[in-house]
Amino acid sequence: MASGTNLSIKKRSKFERAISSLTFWRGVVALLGFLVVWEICSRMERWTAEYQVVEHLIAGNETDINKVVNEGDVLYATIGEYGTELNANREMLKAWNEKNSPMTLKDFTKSFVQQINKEFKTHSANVMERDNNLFLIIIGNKPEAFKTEMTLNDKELAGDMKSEAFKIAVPWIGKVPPPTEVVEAWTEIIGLPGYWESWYLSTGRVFVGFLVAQLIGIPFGLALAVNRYFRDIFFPPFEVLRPIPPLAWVPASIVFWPTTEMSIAFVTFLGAFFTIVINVLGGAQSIDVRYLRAAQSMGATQWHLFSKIILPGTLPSIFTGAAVGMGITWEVVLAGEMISGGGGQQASGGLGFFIWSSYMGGTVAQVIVGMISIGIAGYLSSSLIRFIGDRSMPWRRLF
Amino acid sequence: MPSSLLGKGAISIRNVTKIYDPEGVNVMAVDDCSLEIAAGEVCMIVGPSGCGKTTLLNAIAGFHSVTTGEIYLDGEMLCGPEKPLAEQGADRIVVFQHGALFPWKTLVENVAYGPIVQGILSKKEAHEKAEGMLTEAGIGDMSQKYPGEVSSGMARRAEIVRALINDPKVLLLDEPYRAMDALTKSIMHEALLEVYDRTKVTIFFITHDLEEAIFLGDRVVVMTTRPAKTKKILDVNIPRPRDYQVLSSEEFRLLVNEAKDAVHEEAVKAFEAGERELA
Repeated sequence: MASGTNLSIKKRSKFERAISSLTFWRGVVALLGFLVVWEICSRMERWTAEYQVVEHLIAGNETDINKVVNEGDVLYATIGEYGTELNANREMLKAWNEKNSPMTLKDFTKSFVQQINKEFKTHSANVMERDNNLFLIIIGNKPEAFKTEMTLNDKELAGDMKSEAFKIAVPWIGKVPPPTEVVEAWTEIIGLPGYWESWYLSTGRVFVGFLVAQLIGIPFGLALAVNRYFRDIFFPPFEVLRPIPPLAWVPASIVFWPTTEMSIAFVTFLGAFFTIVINVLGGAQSIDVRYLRAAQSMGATQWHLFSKIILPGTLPSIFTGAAVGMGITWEVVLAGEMISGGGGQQASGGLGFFIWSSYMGGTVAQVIVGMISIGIAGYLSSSLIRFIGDRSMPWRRLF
Repeated sequence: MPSSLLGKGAISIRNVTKIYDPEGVNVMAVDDCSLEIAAGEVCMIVGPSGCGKTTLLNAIAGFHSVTTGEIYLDGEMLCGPEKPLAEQGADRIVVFQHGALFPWKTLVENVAYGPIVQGILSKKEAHEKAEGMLTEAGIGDMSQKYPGEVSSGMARRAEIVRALINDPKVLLLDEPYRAMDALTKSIMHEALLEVYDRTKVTIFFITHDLEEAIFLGDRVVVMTTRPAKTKKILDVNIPRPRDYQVLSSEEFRLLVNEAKDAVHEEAVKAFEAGERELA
């Protein structure tokens, strides 16, 4: 080899390579675009529809409109979720009267409207004269949390309340809370220990089920591949059990196992087990016969053939099976947690239960927080498997 | 090279017949084939695709049984009527068509594999020896790389080193340079001749390439189309060591023509029979 080609090309870190690639930025743009579209779609209904128009009849005729408001007359509004009260009128009126000529009801209402517009970002107010009647119109985009009252002389004048709805709702996505609300819901619960306990419980269940499935599944798959008698005996029942979906095992498993926790663990194990075995079996059987022949002709014993050829030759399939099995395991654990309903006693908590209880008693945003949490957990698990796979199969890491 | 190897590795193929029986349809791959290969000879086997050359090689290596006939190695029976399947052994090592370096081992680990599994050398000794032999073959720099990281030429060279480390009596090569370009091939030929001149190991070499066969071989055995028999045996009396000057010599050209005639006849027969290739 020529040793003069010692070019010093600076090695770039994975991160550097990532941010300088177009693929990476395309991905970022796609993700942001997705979030923006989601945000817009799910807010569309609230922006366009369910604008509630509330009209208050302030005064019924022309004289009343120009009626002078006296000190002591009360005009207030209660707007907002928690009954925020706008009641600065008395001082407002006092200040006005000290400086100016007496204030008419019309002027007063106008200043009241300004006050509303200044205080409430979610509402806008206006004054309108129509057929010699004076209306206060308040438009809000949080109708469920909206209520106004206007009192003059402690006596309610306001009458008609009208609400109009124009809906431009995006189907499906319109029902989902927007990303900003999800993030908000997340920040609310991210500090709560219960949330992290859900993570801990689900992750624990996934890894126990997954590891047991690996410990039993890999030797079982290899035994099926290398021993004809073993395959003849165990493969038919295995193939009968394999098509049964893990969730179909739940009732039976609850009957078999004494605790709910154990039945969840069992179902989890089943979810990964069949995938792992099938992958290991397929991988071991598809090892090129040349490798086996080469090894045999160099004098490899049965044990060497197994440990040095079949096992490393099956590794890629083992990791494929692990990655797929990990996905199924998460699926099954969460379904198990939802079905068991937490129960509050033996098998409580977990992200599946978190989603279920959010659905039953919380907000949709929280449900989505739970879903994204699972996505992240699954991604981290797969990354872990990929990492271990890369480490144990250096020959596959070719540039 | 250890002189103990000199004069070892004579193969005697006597009236070998091989009938495959896939799904009850008898396919005769080799029909009453006899061939004597002297120790230290480079015997090139040429014949149309699917004629049964590889079947013969597999019988010698112990991958397949023979139906009738016997094969002897240095007077000892490898396979015969009582024992149709020869035992696989490190005295006969196969270099495969597409290469069979273990992809999960580095080149040095691949080469050291034989002595380690046979328990002849410790891991450390085997690695040292492998390292030395790879350097001798000119690919010492590559010893820590995986087969997927080196060129096919280097991989094939490493594979021959992996065979030689076991001190085989016979090297069985099954079209090892098939998928290579002409330039790489010529380098591989020189490397193989260099190895041969050093070790004088018996070489049983299957190929389609007539020029390759005549350039490398002491004898070129032209096989008939399936079922395989020896059709013609050409003696190549070009003195060794040979280099690429040989290719342009008159003697070489005549031999190529002679072989071409024989092979062409069989190739036409095989083509007209339209037979599916047997692995």
